[in-house]
Amino acid sequence: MKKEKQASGTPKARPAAKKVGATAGTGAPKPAASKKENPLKSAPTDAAPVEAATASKGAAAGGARFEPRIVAFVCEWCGDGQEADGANGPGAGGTAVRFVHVMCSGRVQPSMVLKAFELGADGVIVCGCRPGKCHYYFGNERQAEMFETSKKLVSLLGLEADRLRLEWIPGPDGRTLGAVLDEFTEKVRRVGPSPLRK
Amino acid sequence: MKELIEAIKLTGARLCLDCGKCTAVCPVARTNGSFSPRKTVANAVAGDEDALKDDTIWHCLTCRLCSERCPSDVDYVDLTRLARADAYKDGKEAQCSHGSAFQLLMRIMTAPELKQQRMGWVTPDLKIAEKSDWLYFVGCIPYFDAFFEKLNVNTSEIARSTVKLLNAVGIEPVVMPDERCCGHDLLWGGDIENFKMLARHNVEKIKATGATKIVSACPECVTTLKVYYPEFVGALPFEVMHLTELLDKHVASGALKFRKNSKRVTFQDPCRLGRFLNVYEQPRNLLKAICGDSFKDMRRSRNSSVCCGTSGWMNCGIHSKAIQTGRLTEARRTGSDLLATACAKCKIHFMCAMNDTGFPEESKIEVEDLAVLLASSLVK
Repeated sequence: MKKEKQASGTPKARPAAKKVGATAGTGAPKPAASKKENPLKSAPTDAAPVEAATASKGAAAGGARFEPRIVAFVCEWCGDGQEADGANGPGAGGTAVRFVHVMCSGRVQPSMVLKAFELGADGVIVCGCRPGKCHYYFGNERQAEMFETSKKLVSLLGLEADRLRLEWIPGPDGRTLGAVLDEFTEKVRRVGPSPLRK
Repeated sequence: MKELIEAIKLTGARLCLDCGKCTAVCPVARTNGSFSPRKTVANAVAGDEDALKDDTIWHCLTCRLCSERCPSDVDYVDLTRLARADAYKDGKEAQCSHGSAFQLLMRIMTAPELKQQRMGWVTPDLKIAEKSDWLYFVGCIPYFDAFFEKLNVNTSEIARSTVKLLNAVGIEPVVMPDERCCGHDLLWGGDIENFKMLARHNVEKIKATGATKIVSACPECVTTLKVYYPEFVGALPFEVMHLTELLDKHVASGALKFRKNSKRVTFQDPCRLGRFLNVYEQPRNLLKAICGDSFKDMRRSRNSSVCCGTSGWMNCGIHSKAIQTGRLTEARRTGSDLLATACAKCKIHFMCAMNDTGFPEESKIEVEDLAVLLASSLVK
């Protein structure tokens, strides 16, 4: 997959979510008739209508495995250039991770996490620089504080704790973004579809 | 536009005399010169299409102080509500300083399959029944505590105190684990579709409990359930009241007694409790029951009371902070050490304002919810 570079790096969701999965099977596809445009819904079906239809047939037959929708808020300074790893990673096949690039993980307010869940994400992951490595000195510390709030709100809403994660990239064991996403996707797959899926 | 013409008719805007009393008393207009209810109404009536469509419709605090003063009974606040609903349909939304976190929580709560874990505030000493005539509608209190932990607002204590007070008058209320937000902020933010979904859910769940009397410590919940649910989802098979209304009766009959203290206390009338529900005396009676003559009203109180500066999590900014600073200074000038409120949001907004750098030290005052004050003074 050709990597497109975000010009300004403004912390805004890209209109069309980038797909990591080599094969384009998506979670339960539904008719694209929706009142408001939902990026989580439209992107995969638009991109691969044929495969989606096949996947739905597979699901009807009871054979397809659950493909979670993941939203990844990724800091430009630690995650940049690593999506390709995710695309080629061992477990990534078939999963569409939607990247939301931010200049710093400190930008990701609890409301952004909630927005992703509201739109039907099965899992949300925030990726930032390791402690002491923040390009803006303390953005990741802010994220660590805000993440506590996000976690509490998500747990009050009754969503499983495994659906939300904060990861420093590279991980303590040197894990790349791709490996982290693979592992997170697997975990969310086990939790199952979000009750907020539309 | 058709809806807006209808809104002008419904709210009696055509009766406007252009006297400007609304703008003169409006707390927002005082700090923000660009906002003028008089101008908005005059332009709207004159047929200016933009009057009810531009950004100023989101500035209103919907505190109803203007309607209180209007000689022609123009319901400016309702006009704002209808104009916002119209603007929302066009994709416009209020600016929220928390990134719309609360509106998102409310919209998430419209999902029928959601299984909230919101009962964490219930401690073993509280008596809650499975089945009862009485139901305590908690509101968003658990979420406030999670979101405003740093401000140390401790809103869960309001919920615990409410149950303690209800227990003290012999009521063991039902508390619904699947209660959803009443939708107050969505209604006033123009999101009618989602508001109706929340309303239907709550009414259905309350009906299922079989409770006939609903009590809440949140004036916004009470107003929404009592006044706006019937308008949107039809007549309700239950009665709704604010905690202070219920407790006042028990204090008057002598059934409920408090330990006296000599703290000097003043009271902030929440807009929804005062000007919307006309509950002015009850909270004052209760405060006098715990602190007697050391209770003192602010200069602007009861139906002249000034709003806490933000409503529906909209448009918090320098104008809100100016209103809050002014109000807290006024509270301090009564010589009181404590400002009692009867709305969790008033408490949050005031405590947030005092947290700002540059907030005048001499205006700082302790803020506490009435329910907490009462529960801590219960005669065991």
